[in-house]
Amino acid sequence: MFAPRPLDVLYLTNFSDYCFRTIPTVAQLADMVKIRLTILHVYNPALDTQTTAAEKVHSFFPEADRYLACNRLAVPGPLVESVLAHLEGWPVDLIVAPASDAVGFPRLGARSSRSRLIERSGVPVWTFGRGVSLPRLQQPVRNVACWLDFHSGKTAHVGYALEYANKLGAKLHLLSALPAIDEGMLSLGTSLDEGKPLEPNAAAAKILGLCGNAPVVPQVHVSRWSGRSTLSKMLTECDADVVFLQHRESAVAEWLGLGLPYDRLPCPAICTGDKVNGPVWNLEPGQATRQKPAVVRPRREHSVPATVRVG
Amino acid sequence: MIVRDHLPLRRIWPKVSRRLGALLVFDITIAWLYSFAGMTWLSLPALPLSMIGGALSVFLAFRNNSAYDRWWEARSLWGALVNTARTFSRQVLTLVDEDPIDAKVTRRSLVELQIAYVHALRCHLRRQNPFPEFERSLPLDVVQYLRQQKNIPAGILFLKGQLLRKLYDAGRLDSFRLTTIDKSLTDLCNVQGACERIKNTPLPRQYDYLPRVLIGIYCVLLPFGLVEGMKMLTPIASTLVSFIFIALDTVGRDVEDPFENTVHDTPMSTLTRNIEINLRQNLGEDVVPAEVRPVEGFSY
Repeated sequence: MFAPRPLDVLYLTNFSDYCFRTIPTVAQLADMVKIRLTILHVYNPALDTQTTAAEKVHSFFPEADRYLACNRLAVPGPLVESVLAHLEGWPVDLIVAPASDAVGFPRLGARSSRSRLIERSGVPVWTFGRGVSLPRLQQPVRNVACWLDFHSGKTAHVGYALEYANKLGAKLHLLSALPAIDEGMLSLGTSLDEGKPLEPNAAAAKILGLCGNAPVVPQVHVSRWSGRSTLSKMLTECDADVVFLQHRESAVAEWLGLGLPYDRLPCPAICTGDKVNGPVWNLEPGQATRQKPAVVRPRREHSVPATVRVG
Repeated sequence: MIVRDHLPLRRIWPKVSRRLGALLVFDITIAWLYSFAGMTWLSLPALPLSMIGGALSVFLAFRNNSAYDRWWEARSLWGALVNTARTFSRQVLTLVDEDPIDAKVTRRSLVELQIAYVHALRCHLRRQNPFPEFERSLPLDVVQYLRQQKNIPAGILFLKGQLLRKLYDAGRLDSFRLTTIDKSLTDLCNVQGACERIKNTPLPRQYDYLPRVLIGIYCVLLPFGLVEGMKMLTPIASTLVSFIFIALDTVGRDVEDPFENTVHDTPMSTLTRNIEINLRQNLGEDVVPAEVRPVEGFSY
């Protein structure tokens, strides 16, 4: 059993409105679990000097200087390559990457830096977009959601969600949607692929199987897929403060520069890519969590069954 | 708060681009239908539109003035807070009698609590968790006490009052000096109350909602009033006029909430850092935190 350790957080900033709005979330996180914070600004060497960039990054989120561990860096761009180079020398557990300010024009062919970071860094990336209201970023995390997509078959993010919900004392909601059933499927009577359940209880059982003997009792929500807003609706219903999900972006949306799909979700998202470099977090509780009385959670064999809601 | 001498268009453009883009398409359609499809009945007399535009301008000016008043009041209150914090620190360090055993510690605690107070008030107004900032600066029992408080800055003021009472009971403050220092606490409490009033009382929703709806209606009607005289130039004129109204509406909405974690906020991070530097220098500390400078023309 490894001892819990602080969460190494890399907070990327280009001083957009979204970067400022992220500050209360990082403050909440710093109170709930022990974090080692690095604030990184990747500047354009053609427009800025190292000195001015360093001065800017020192004036951003100044209150973090009073935190237990905070480091500030300004490095020359390009963004993704610089961040990856930084990660080689200084691995982190979580990248906080708020959106940039909108430019107000469609940017055809311009790929999101956050998307490339998720794919190439191997580190979970926290992000949010215009769909998130300010109060959601300011309140403590009480409901952690985790979206399971049976099509991709990737489940690395589930472990992070379990650990996050457990250490923060938050309720865990496991969400999934079944494909809409049409006549063709009914005539076959079964799923074409054994890995993809078509029936809610089968889906719930499969989801619970992923949790093993985790110390949190999850609530499982299974819904019928009803278009792109399905996830948003489910997140709103379970009042999620953050959602863990596996990164997927359609090629067309990517080319059109529509921004990440998570930018329209009602809560921030922590996304993992296809590969994950580090082990699952083993978070050290912060002051706020340490003060709460310890909750003894029953092991799964003796616990009440996880709630399953089928919408 | 914007401190540079100009407002970059890239800050306003993304907020108005969608509405303006839609209006431009609409204007081009109206101009084309009028000029090339023979739909001359699309033209409206310009006079009523001019009158509506004038009335709308007055409405917008009134609402933007009200929004600016809130923003300026917030800035003034924080100016008063800076002064009162310095005054309180000076009073504590000069009016409380020396005591070889305890007074220096108590005086330092009071100034530390004052520093914590301004940081706590900033966090309180921005709905931000202040406790990670307290871990290194306040004793654990004080932090635990503050965790029980709904209003953390008010809790710190109460702790300061209790410490002053202890000094009075120990004979290191007479009633006259206690009254003087306590007045500073009352001033701090008044500033906090006024900030909370601004935070918790939004601009009346009628002032926010009606201009937005009326601007939308006006911008849609505008090309009908211009098309007879301007023909295919209508989209340019109409979009420019629409931009002015929409930008005015946006500017008003930006400043109406001065404690909302945006770049238009009262620069509380900068001000609290300045207070901390001043107070730590009063305490005789050699190493003080670095000053916070504007970032990209914004003081936060």
